[in-house]
Amino acid sequence: MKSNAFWLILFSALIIISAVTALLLRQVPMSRASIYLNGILTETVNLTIVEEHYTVTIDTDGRTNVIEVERGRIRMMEASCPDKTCVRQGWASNGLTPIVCLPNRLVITLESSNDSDIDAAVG
Amino acid sequence: MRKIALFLIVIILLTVLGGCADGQSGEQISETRLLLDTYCTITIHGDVSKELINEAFELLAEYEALFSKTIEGSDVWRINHARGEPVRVDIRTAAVILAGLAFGEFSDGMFDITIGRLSHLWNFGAEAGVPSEAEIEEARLTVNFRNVLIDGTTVQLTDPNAWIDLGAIAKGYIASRIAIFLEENGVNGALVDLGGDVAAYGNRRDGNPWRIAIRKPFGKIDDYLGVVEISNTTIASSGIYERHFEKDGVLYHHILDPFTGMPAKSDVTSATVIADGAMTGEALSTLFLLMDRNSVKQLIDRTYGDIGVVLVLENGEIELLGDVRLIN
Repeated sequence: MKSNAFWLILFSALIIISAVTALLLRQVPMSRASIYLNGILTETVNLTIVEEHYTVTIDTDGRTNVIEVERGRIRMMEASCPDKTCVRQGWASNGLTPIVCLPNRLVITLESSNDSDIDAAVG
Repeated sequence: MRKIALFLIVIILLTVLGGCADGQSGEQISETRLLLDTYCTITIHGDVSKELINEAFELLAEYEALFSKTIEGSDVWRINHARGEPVRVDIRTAAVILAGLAFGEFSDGMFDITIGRLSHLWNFGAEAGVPSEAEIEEARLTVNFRNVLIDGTTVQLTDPNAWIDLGAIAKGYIASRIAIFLEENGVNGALVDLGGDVAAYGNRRDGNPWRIAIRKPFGKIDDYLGVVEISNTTIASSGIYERHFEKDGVLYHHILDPFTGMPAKSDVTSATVIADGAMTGEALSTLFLLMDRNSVKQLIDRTYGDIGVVLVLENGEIELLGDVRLIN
């Protein structure tokens, strides 16, 4: 009798542990941004743990980009390029499309746990 | 009893551990590089080495070295600087030029690969402003695809001032060729995204078709109209909101009408085309921005093969034509 109870408790414990683990893993959204200048990784930002928003300024050879970071998202706030396509793209919170400032050779890529549903974007 | 219990515990432990590990077969690798004047992402999965993605990008660079109009010594550069003399080119360049000429015929000149001088003129427009009428006229006069003579791999521009620009079909061709290269090298599935010109081989790792989001015109980077599912085909998009600038309240975009020399005026804001042909999607998506919606419908009827089209009109209306399903 006692040994049966023991195994029962052990099973239940294992089942509960695996269920809780699965639930916990699913709920934590992770996102990380990588900033590349001229193809070289300049900085990475863990967007998940950002407390207060802040800006990162990248200034090379007269080409300036100001990147704004908030929890879970990132954007090109200002850019010295003529067309400002990168600024118009707005906030990125998933890794589907990188924010690209072609004239200034700056790319911001994201890896996010809510990426998996879409593989590419067109248009 | 104990043996059964032990056995069951082992099963449960394996399940817990197995749940943490990746359940799908084959590793998925993705890499993005700035090439072809845009961001290019190659995604593969299967029992293949990471080196394969490197090789795919090397192949991409090889194509760029052939088709680029700015790289000195490329096939296109040599044709454009030959002052009307015949030029021998790579067979792949010849293939793309031939396809471009075919689209020229198909569209009665609305799609024209000799748009080079005109696109060059407007490219500097973002910084210098709107080109003058005289400049536009001078460039426009050099646009005529019928001035391209091609015989095997010899190409000749009979107008020495004209320039070939393969920008409106090259990426579609390259994306497809890379997808084929990856298929030949044993991947289970591949997605080649060259700045929005996408070729898909096989399916995603989970066995479902690749999911491609269509962005909202003038929207933010995360704004989508919906998703289409593709497998073993290509998808391409063109929109007036892509490369554009505003001057004195007027929007100047990069889809140029070869007959007026100006950005095209149409009630179509964005066109997304799903087509099996390597360059069909890309060429048609450009073409659809050069004509009004009714002409688009007529052209689709004349197109060989099944294509799917998503049009976004000026008034925000979304129109689906042909073989396509938009999922929200």
